[in-house]
Amino acid sequence: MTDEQISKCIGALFKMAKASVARSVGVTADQYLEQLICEADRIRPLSVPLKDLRAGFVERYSPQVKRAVASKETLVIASTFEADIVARRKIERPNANIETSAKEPEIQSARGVEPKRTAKRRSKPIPRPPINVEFVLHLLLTSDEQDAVIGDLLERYVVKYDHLGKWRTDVWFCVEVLRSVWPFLKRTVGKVSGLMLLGEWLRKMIH
Amino acid sequence: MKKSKDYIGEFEELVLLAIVGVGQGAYGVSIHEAIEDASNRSISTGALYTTLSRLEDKGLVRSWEGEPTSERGGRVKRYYKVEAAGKKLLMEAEASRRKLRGLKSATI
Repeated sequence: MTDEQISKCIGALFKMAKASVARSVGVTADQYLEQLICEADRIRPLSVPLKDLRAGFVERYSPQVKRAVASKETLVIASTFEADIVARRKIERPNANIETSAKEPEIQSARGVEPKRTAKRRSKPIPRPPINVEFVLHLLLTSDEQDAVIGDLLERYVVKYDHLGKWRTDVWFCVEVLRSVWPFLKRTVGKVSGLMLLGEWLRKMIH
Repeated sequence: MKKSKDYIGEFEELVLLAIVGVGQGAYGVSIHEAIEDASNRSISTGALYTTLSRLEDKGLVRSWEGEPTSERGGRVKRYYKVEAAGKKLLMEAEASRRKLRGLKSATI
């Protein structure tokens, strides 16, 4: 695994921690990020250079990081962290103070307060569609669009899954992906034929 | 006569109105839902995004990356906002429609 890959993976984790995982743990994004960093680097002050921080982070979670880079499932690592941290800290309430939880883990554990929101989320895995959309739409999407389009399809899949069940949602998903191929294909063909016409016109102008 | 980029099609107008309607936090899924609820027709994600990309090329909307979520497999959202030129075109389209109906004023 190259430095660049490690860097990308950690970057993605940090981003996710800030954005979504923090909410489910019940602390603010910055607090959670700080907690993640402390956990990764054995409670080291935040003034540590990011490079060192990442090194410590990767050293500890290296197998998971490698596996995630290979399978592109960085979310799995974020979930591992979340479970890890919740189990150790036993965060008491949504606005729990990071300093308190970092300094007094034993006290909090002794209170025996279960992180209800997190436990609820964890018990229900996020459903995943039957086909790899990225593979289907890869050639037709611009780099800017890839995350947005594929992410939207996955998000709608998760929402529909609760209402329709697996089989019907899978069918809906396949139909939706096929329906989405046509507009992108039309656009790509339009661009290519436009370029061909331009080339033809330039060729005529030169000769 | 107006240039072709000063015209918007029916679906483009729907998309612009949906973004305005959703307001802050308008991204693919929320725009999609707004259009389907309002127009009672099923649209594909592909159709929506090709239209959004065309509107962005015309300078009528602006987009930026947002935060990733676990439901999206860790992929970021792309938020959209209607630019001044887009709002102007919407108002013009509305004004034309009202003129045709014989009404006097228009507001969006």
